[in-house]
Amino acid sequence: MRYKEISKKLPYWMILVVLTILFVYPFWWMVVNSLNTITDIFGDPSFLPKSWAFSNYQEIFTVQPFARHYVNTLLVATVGTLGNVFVAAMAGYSFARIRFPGRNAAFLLLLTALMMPIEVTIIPLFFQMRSFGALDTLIPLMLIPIFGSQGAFSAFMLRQFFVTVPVELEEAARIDGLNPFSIFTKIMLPIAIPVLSSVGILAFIAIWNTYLEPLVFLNSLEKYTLPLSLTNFNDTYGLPQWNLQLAATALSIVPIMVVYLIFQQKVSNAMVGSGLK
Amino acid sequence: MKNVRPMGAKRALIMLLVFGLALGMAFSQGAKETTSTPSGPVSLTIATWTSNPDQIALLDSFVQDFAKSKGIEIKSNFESIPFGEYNTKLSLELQSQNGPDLFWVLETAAPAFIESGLLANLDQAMKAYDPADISSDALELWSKGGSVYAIPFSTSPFFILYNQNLFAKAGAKNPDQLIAEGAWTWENFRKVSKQVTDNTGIWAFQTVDGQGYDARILHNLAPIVRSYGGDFWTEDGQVLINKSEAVAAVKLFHDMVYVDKSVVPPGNQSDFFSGNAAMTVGQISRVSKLKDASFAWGLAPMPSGPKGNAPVIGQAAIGAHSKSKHVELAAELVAYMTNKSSVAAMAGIWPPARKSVMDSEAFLTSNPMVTSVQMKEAVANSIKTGRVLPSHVKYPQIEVESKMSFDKLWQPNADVRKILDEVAAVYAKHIK
Amino acid sequence: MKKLSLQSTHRREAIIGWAFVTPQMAGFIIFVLLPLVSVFMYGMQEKNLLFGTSSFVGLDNFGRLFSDPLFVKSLVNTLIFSAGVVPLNLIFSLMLALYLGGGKTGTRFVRGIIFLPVVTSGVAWAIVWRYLLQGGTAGPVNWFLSQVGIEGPNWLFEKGWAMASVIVTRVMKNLGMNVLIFMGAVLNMPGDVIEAARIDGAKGWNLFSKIKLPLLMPTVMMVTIVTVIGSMRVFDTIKLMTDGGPEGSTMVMVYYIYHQAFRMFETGYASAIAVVLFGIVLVLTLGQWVSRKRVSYYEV
Repeated sequence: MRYKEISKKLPYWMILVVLTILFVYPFWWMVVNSLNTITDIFGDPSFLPKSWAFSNYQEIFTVQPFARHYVNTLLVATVGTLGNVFVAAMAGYSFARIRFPGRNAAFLLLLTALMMPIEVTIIPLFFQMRSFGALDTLIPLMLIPIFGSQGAFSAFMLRQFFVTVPVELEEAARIDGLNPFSIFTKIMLPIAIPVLSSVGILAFIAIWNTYLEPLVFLNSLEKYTLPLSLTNFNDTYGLPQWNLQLAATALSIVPIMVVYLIFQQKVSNAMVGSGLK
Repeated sequence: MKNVRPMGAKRALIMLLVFGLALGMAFSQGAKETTSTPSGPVSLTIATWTSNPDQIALLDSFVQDFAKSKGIEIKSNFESIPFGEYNTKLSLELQSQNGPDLFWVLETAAPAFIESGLLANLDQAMKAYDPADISSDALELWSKGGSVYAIPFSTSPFFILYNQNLFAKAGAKNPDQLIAEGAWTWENFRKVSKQVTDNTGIWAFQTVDGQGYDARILHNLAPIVRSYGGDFWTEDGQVLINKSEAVAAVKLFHDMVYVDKSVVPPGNQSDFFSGNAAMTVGQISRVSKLKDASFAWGLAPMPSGPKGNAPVIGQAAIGAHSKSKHVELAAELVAYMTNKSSVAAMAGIWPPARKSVMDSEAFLTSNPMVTSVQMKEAVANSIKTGRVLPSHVKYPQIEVESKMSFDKLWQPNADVRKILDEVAAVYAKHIK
Repeated sequence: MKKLSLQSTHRREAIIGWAFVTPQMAGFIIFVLLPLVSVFMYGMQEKNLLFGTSSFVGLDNFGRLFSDPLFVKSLVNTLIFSAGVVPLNLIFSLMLALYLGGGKTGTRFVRGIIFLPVVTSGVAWAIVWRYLLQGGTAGPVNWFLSQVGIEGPNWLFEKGWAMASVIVTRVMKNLGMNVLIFMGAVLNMPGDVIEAARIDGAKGWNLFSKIKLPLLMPTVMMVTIVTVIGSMRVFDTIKLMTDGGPEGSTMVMVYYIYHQAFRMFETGYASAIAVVLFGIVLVLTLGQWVSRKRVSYYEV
């Protein structure tokens, strides 16, 4: 009986172990070698750092304005996320609850943004941003997630949510004399908080990790965002400074990991929800 | 109802304000750099592919001297772009309202950049600084229709850097010993490389900056190919890369990588400067990387081939952005940065194209880490006889397309001739 | 207010409704629709980024596409990449979801770790794997292989292996996402239907293929399309791990667009490629809509 139980569970545990190695080792290796000197990285892999070079974590802030890159990324992700959520909530609410002419057509049109890869429009966007004088600023990095496919996605998710809100709530508020905007901010937004935070977290993660847009739109070192910064740890002649690059990469992952670990359930649910319809 | 309505509006207003404020913050970040008041300091951005702080400081000292001489204040902003992405990034930046005012130009990109009109004409600005002193050979690549569009600040031959300790450990003759015997040929280069790898288990040769298989493939192959009497293509439109001389040369390198296994292979990051390869190809600007080297090192000219010595020069120039808001100032600064005193100050890092500096005794002792004998033999002599890489206005296309074929070389059983035929076809298509 | 005529209520609603959607729709027009129109226009121009020139050339760029061996290569590579990523991703994620879905101990933990790469940036993931996959015995992957007596290839620099490497790292990066979605769908399967099938004697493969899979079909379809479109968009993995090489064997469409536009400065021709990419994505999306209607029979 006992033997049978173990033999039944053995493959299960083996899968767990294999998955853990596959998915945790890359991160472990990154952290270990972010604490090695460049010469120690090339030796045989070890389970713990050989040189404990904590100086790597200091040096990344001196070889380029890494702190600034961090702040830039935070700024872009925060403004982008707030804008994304707010604009999308307004649109989602209206699409769900207000009858206005052209509603279905507008909604359908917006849905086309859902599937539109930024890679298709990156060239015109580059010229467009140039004519706005927005090249080499953080503006495009904030606006595109608000209005591009990430924005359409949030609007869609929020519409789906607002459709399910009972009409009685609104009726009561209207009888209390609230104007439409107050109904939106006082009644609708508060009850939508779980959904708002879900789409917000998704937007935040997406903006935090964006690479192509900053690559094309930014020039100045002090405007870089983290993904760009990570690829910029090179020595004088363009060879990667591995130890610094790994230390910076580890640091860049931290906030996202924290967000993820705190909101694990929420992030998972949001992602699952995103796929369901 | 009366007091509810304004509440909602107020809320909306506040939210909009917060949002607008945040956006405004971001905008002002961008705007700060662009608006320069005429009375305050002029802000100039200079794009380079070096990020070495000492080198940047040296360049900045020229900027400050220039500002002093003009009686103005200049706030310089150096932007370093990695070599491998230099043209891509630079071309994007030149479209931006914040694009660099001055920028370095790669030799291979020279014709395209001159053709594009993005480089300002420097004829007027140069007049003040004895333009006749600049070697006309060196200027050729950077001129069009008798006008100069960028000035080479570096005319730097490639040479071999080697690790004396590793050669000693391997019991192999090092380059200087072979030179003394008059036997410093590519054949012997290959032989000692194999010895080093066999006897020490350490790579004998790392290609130039470790990028010899991709971004610097021409720099990597040119010294061998040319000393075998071959070339990539010529100015008058002949394609030579698949001729027997070039094929023999490329085959030698290929055999070193895949038969002898003495060369750091593609994708492997072992580095000469950290002691993980016994030789590499460098220029005088790379010597500073040896400041903290844990080994004794030497410096020798490139080996010779059946057709003798064929030094290869890497050239780099600096130009002014024709659409810069301060284009005239930028052009003057370019001329100033390549005047006699600036060139003399740079000579130890970036060998000069100015005859007066090149011929001076001071040049031979300009780099404290390099002896005057080394400077003479591996640098000064090579500048006189060396040639730059071929270039073409379609080089951006050539580079991308030929890479597809060149990549095929990096297989153990690659058919070198057939692959070079393919490369030649790509060259022929664009060069015509 | 109650006395307002029906018409004026409608008008009021229309104004309010549009007021709410205007920010989103205006932004959509500026940042999505306009660029999309432009990309079609640019596709019919010879437009050089470096020289700043542009001239109308009609459909020349599109004609050039199929005589451009590199474009054909990038198209084929994109298909190979998708053909590698999509089935691997779907099979593993479905298997894991079904296997881990039963609320066994450790499920939460496994779900957590599989999900780590999903929230990690593609850049960070590519940087780490570029190191792990070094050739010789320098890279940890090959070091492990050498411990069991296998001489690993030079992953990112050998044709074939390079494509395999980017496929596998990409699958690992996004697997967690689909596992989660499938887990959600598995939990939503009607227990009574499965129970009934079990009582009728269905189990193992039969139970899966005859009962569970049809129930999961809408989700599978949706996940397939999303994964296919996602795989068409691969950029950072390629740029940072293989740079499109060796021999262009990992040069995918999006990277070729980037190359043509910003390396060879032909933004017009690059736009024509972008139009083709758009066409492919459009067909896939429409395909999903149509197929969703077809399989909606199973939707519960």
